[in-house]
Amino acid sequence: MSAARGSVTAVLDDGFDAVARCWAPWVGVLWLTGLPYRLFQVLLVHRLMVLGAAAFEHGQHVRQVAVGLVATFVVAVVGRTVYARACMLALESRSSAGWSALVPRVPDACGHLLVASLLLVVEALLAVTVVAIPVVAGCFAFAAAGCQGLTKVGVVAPVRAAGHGMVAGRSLLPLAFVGSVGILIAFLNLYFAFQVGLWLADGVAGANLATWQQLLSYRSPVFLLLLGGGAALLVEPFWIGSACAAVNAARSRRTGDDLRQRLAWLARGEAA
Amino acid sequence: MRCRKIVCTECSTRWEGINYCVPCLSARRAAAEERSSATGVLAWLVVTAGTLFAAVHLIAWVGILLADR
Repeated sequence: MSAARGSVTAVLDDGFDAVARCWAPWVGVLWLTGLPYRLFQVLLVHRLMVLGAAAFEHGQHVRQVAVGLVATFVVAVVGRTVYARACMLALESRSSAGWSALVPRVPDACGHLLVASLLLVVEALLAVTVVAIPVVAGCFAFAAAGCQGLTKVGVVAPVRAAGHGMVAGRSLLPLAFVGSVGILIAFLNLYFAFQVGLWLADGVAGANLATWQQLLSYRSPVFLLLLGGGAALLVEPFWIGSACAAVNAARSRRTGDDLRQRLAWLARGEAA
Repeated sequence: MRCRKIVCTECSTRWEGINYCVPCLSARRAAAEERSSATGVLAWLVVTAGTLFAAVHLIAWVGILLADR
């Protein structure tokens, strides 16, 4: 754990450490529960692109896709709650979370779902702006981290806890920027991974790749949308892990845990 | 530990990977077992269901507006 705890670099370091401890099976849970939501996002955007100006006449169909999107969003929120709890336990205990973390705590899951639903409405309203979407995505991660440790189901407490997490960490905007860059890099890496795969498959005798080369081309909107969803899935564990590290650091500063840990390291003669 | 007390390893209890002294463990268990009030649960249900319902219609409406551009 780095000395300047609470700085963006320290938050990223601690977050990545937590992700490494929670890789199996918690990241798998996050991806499995988040995959349907990302696919529905791709489906909605693609349908709107195809319908274009005729989307108004197919409002019922668009609403049905939106219902599927929100239903899978609820499942994704539960997965994020489980993963965020595993990250918090890993950060507090500096070891991998036990299997008990697989079952989400009811107050945490309910509080997180409430805050995430409010953020979903905000994201829909800000969909026209490009800059706001990464910030709202960062807010989703901090909502997952901030709604850990709630004691009962309610309305005010989860919103207050998530708000404290977003403000006290002072890392929301930097992490939103880093996460956006991460998604862009993951997008490019995935694209070139598919192109390398096509190139390697081209060497197989008798393989007819004309259709695949069209489907997996930058001219295919569905392929690009799927790459975007895949990139978001890849970056999400690190985004939530870093948010958990920021919230954990803020809570430690409030209780004095960070000073006690620093004293323990110095007493053991470890480098800060 | 969170309470700033210094206790030996034998006197602490490990729960969910974190060491607690006896009073902190009792307090944590009491907090964890706190029952949610019916009013709080009902309020959560109404607000969450309403927000998700609004999200469905808002997503469809914004999507149609953006597609029409």
